[in-house]
Amino acid sequence: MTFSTQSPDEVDVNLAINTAARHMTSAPHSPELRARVMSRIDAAQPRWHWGWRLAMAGGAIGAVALTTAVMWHEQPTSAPSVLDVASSAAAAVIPVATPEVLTAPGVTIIVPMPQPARQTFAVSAAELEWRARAVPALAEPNALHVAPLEHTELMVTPIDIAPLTVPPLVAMTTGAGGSK
Amino acid sequence: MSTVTVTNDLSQVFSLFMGATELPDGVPVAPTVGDSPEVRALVVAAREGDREAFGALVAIHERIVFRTALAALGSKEDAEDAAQDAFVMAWRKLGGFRGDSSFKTWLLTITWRKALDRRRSRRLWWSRQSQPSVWEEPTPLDSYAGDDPSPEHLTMANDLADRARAEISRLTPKLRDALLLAASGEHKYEEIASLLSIPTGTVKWRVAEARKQLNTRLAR
Repeated sequence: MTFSTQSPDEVDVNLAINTAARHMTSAPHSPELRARVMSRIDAAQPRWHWGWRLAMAGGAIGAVALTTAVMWHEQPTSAPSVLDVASSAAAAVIPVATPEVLTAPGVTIIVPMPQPARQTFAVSAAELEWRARAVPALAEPNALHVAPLEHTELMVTPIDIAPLTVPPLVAMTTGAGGSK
Repeated sequence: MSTVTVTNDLSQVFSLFMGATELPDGVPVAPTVGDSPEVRALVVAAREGDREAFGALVAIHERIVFRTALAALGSKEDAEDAAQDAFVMAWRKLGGFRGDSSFKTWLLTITWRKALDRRRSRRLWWSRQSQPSVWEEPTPLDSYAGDDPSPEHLTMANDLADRARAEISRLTPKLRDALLLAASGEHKYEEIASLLSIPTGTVKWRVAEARKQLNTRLAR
């Protein structure tokens, strides 16, 4: 830095400012700064790993629970319909389709073994007996035939009533307030 | 999101030293503009979790990080704590370092934010009551590099430097930060502008304004 346009006093002042500012920002740092930083990083690392482990364990438990719940929900819990006894007995074993593969000459394709269907509906003797005891469907009831009501004309005979005759009252001769 | 893949293949490390921005398998590497090839290779390794590589980066940058924090805080203890916080934060955030700026500028930006957080906290105000500030220490005699090294002139110059130090402490934080960062000799104006999140021209104005105010006060 040159101070060619400044007076000697200004040079001293600027030099003093520079000296002071540099002194204010030039204190030596601790020789253990790096070691402290690395120890803090190492201290934070296990917590981070433990967090991941906990999250993975929680995820695994959740996946097992979800799988169990789905399998439990898919199991047949209601009895098959009575009307489908014959058809379901015939379809007790669901056939597995064999994949058809077109191969070029000289090419060998290994086809995986077909996996049996998970739900085969094997009918046990107890279930067949239960189905035999099932109540067959009721027949449709006959329609009710109700005869219509016929109204007959009312024949009311007139009633003859004799005229009511009331005899005149007789004058009383005794009693209080009478004459002597 | 990491865009870097590091292997132990020496040819790949060598290519990074030579300034390559792409690994042989076509994976782009953060360019880390302005960093030396050594720092560039260390950054790439540290991003992949190489603890020793990050330790080397700490060793390279610990001085400038500490001094940057000291410029904001004035206390050795606080500056060291802020420097530690900055390095730990850098280690955690290294995966997000995109290489838009140099690693040094990125690290110093983290340092400056950590130092400002510490400066704003009330705890710093209380701790300052008991902790000695490096800003209050007398200027050592041998720090003055004037043309006349006579003992009498040295004494006068250091007395002036002590007054200058006191006046610098009384500047507003904006002017003082810019002046101290510029006068420390550790940063370019562009780097200071990045730290303070202001244009380079504003940095220059603040430094000039700080010098102007100090000249006025010290000339009384």
